[in-house]
Amino acid sequence: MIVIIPACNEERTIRQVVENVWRQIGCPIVVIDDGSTDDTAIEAFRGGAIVISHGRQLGAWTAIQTGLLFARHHRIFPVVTLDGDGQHEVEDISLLLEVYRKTGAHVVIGSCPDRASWMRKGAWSFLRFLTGLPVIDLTSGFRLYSKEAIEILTSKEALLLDYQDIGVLLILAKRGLSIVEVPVRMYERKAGHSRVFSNWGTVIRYMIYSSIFGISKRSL
Amino acid sequence: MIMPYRLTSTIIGVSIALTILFLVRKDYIHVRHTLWWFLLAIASIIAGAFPNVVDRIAWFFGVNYPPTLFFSLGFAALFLKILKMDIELSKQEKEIKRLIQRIAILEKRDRGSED
Repeated sequence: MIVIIPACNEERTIRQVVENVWRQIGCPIVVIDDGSTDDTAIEAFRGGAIVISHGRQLGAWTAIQTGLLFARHHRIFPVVTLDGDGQHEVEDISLLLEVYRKTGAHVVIGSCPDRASWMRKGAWSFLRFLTGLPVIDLTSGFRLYSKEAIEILTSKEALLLDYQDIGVLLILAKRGLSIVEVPVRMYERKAGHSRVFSNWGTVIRYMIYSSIFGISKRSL
Repeated sequence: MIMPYRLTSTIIGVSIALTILFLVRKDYIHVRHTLWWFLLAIASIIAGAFPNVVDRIAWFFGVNYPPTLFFSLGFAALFLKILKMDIELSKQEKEIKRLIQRIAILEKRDRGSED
């Protein structure tokens, strides 16, 4: 197993997160530094992570995909993705792993719908309705991807996506991969903020693009 | 003297052709992208030099006022060209992202790679 952490300007929390994973799980950790302008890369390195730096910002999803590419090159499966802001409980990685082993699902999503505001919940239900995806927490960054999922998600087809949300799930669902959700704990972000739900402009743009995307990719 | 529209059309066509030739000469545009513009230039010159052709085509399509056809076709042509550019742009975005990912992985830093 390998843990992948996409990070952008998270120098205050990244080292702690990496060290926690080391201590509690003890598997290789890759931090994808997505065009940070602060010391995220150095802090992650000090924590003991393998650091891969994008020369420029490519977006949260592309950062995860770089990590998946790395895992695929080195044939390390499965992959668990985690946020670098301390939002996810590192202990719960074993929960994801356990569910993966028991169910044999291709993707396990650590889900925590309680964290969402009414606005985000509304957005999720709407997107669920549009896409027909049977997933409650559409935007969780806490996921486990199996070898099969990684092979599909590292294809060029998945390069035009921006977030690890409906686009990723739709590609997987289209290929008939099984997605299972497991409830996990999530904390308030210690640093940084959601890349989507930060201000009205991005939310509106996100909803418009997601709707168009969801409608175009719906299974017929 | 007011210039007849057929002369205007011819001048536009010739200008497009000359501009494209100049851009290729200066290496500002890949020769691969020029065919479309030359076709447009030729169409424009034909429309100017032989207005009968436009009239006939318009008549064939049941358009009473030939310039309407002229504008519609021009609009459609530009629409297609720009759509193709956006498709091309998306393809390039994918290529660039994949290249950055590859370089990033090649330049990874870990405990083993530093002294």
